[in-house]
Formats: sequence, C-alpha cells, structure tokens
Amino acid sequence: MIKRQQRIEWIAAVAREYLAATSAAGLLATQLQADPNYGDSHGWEARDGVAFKTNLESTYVVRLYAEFEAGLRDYWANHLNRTTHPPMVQLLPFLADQRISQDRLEDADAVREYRNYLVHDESGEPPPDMRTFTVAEAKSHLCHFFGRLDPDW
Amino acid sequence: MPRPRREEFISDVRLSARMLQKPNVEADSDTLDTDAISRILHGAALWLTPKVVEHYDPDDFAEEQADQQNRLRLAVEEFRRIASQVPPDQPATVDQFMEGAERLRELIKVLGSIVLAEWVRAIDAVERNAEEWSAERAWRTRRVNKKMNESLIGPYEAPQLLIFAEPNLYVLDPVARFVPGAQGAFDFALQPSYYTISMYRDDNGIWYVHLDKGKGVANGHPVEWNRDSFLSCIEQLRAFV
Repeated sequence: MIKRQQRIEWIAAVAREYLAATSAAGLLATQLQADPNYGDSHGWEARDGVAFKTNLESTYVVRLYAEFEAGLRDYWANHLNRTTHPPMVQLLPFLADQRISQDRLEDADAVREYRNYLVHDESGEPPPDMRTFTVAEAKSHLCHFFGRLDPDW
Repeated sequence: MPRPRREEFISDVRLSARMLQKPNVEADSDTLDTDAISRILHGAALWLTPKVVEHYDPDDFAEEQADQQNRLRLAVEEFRRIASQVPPDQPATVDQFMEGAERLRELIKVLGSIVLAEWVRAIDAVERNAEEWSAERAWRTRRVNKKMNESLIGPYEAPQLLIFAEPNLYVLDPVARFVPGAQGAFDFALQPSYYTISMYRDDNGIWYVHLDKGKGVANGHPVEWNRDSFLSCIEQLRAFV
C-alpha cells in the first residue's frame, strides 16, 4: 500500500475505534445502571464512567489529530527530507502551498485549533470564533487534506 | 511576498464569507438564548469591520463591465457604512449584525460572480491550450463537468479535460480558485494512478506546472505552462503506469 493511503487508513482506523468505544460506552452505561458499583472491583468509580462517556468524542478528536500530525511529520522528514520540526500552524500552510484549496487548509487548521483547545484549555466553552468538530467531521477534514499530498515516499 | 491589492481584497471578503457561513451565525435568532446571541454578536467582530474592504480600489476592477463595477462599488460602500458604525471595542448590536450580514451577503454575491466568471475563463484558457496541443498529436479530448464549491463563489460547475493519449487516459482537473500562494490550481493526472502533477496560477496570471514528479511541490521546480511543459507532464506521468 502506498504511504499516503496507509496514513489515511490509520486516521480512519482511529475514527472506527471511536465508534467501537461509543458502543462500549453504551454497554457500560447499561452495566452501571444495573450495578452502580461495577467499577469498584476494576479500580474506578461510577463518576469515572460518566466522565469516560462525556469525554469520549474529545478524546478521539485528539487521537485523530495525533495520527494526522504523525503522518505529516513523516511526510516532512522522509519525503521532503527536512530536518526541522516546525509547529503545525506553519507546517499546514507550507504543505498546502499552491496545491490544496484554501477552504480545505482552513478546515484542517480549524481542527488543529479545536484540538489545541481540547488539550490546553480548561475553560468550559470554546471561544465564540472557534469551530468545533465531531470525530466524523474531523476525520473528513484531516483525511481530505492528507489525500492531497504526494502519494508515496 | 505581498499579494496584489485586488487579490488581498478578494481574500479578505472570502474569509469573511467563510465566517458568515458558520452555523452559529446562520442559526434562527428567535430560538437562541441570550448567551448564544451574545456569542454571535461578539463573533461578528471578525467580519463586521471596515478592514474587510480596506484593500478595495475601483481601479482594480476597471476591466469589468460598468454595471458590475457599479454594483461592486455600491456593495463595498454599503458594507463599509454599516461596519464603521460598530465600535472596535464593543460587540455589534442585533440591528447592526442583521444589516451587516445582509450587506456582506450582497458584497459576496457581486464579488463572487466577478471572481467566478474570471476563474471559469482561466480554466477554459488552460484547457483550450491542452486541447490544441493534444490535437497536434491526434489525441482525442473531451470535457466533463464536475461540481465544485468554494467560499465566496459558492457551488459551481467546471470542466475537467480528459485526454486520450493512447494508450493512456490523462485528466486535467481544476482543483480550486482559492489556493494558498496562488490564484488557482489544477491537477494533471494519469488514470488510473495515484500520481498527480500540480499546476498553479501565480499572481501575474501565469500558469506553472511542478515537474520532477515525486519530489513534491516543495522540492520540484515550477515550469511555465506551455506546449513543452504539457508534453513533459504527459511523459513524466506515463512513467508511473
């Protein structure tokens, strides 16, 4: 399989894993209804189970993005033979230059901003000008961007 | 490198169009709570500002038809008038937001139609080149419309050019009018293949192709679009069959 496709598959695999985790969260919720102390024997409390479900989507957006970033850095180092480590805010427009549409670049960059908010910001609400994404939306934007890169390296 | 003033203006309006499209701005205000309205009005600060049209100069659109020029000038003036009423350190009022959104939509409509018409002409010119050079070698060509959608210009159709350079099929495929560092891009691809040569139009309206396939845009060298580079694309892509 060509590298680009392999990388896209890995991003898509995280999105599928999220679906599995969503199903697991549903099963867990049923289990907790039947036995609120179910987690005690496994080292966690009922509220941890609630937090697991609440944070599931955010957790997988962060993981999706990590897979995306790893792919871009692989491309940067091993296809473009660059030895530097630019921040993603610079790497995205550099890779998009003259070949990826501005809309697609801005979509991927908005996912980057949202991921940074999820990782670093402890306040409750995202800023008014921030776009937020489901796992499916983030996957679509990140895969679209990646799909515009050279196919193999 | 600084971009031409005309392109700066177009880019600023495009970005504002994108912000205006955001779902929270499009929501029905009758069903929103106070916090949501407050967030929307704060968010409007990003596009309801005279900065959006600060690069506008009527001279940059002197080649457009007179009625288009007038409509654009009027749309800019109307937008600037309402945007100037919003204090830079305060959110817009609901009335300012509503009127500002209406004015911006009108500006998007007028400017978008100008940009789209020019972009469609540019696509046609590139494909006519390729058709002419293909005909010289008795390669058959055919145009097939594809659906596209971009901020500012909205949904539109543009033709891909299929080139039957026996035994291979090539596709000259418009990617977007708005591309970082360029005023339009094409893919030149061989079917079936993952490999593509990127083409872009610079700020002077000159088209280039990134030859040295496999080295990427960053490492390849741009060559001006002409008969020789067209044939080089065909040759380089053929190597990937």
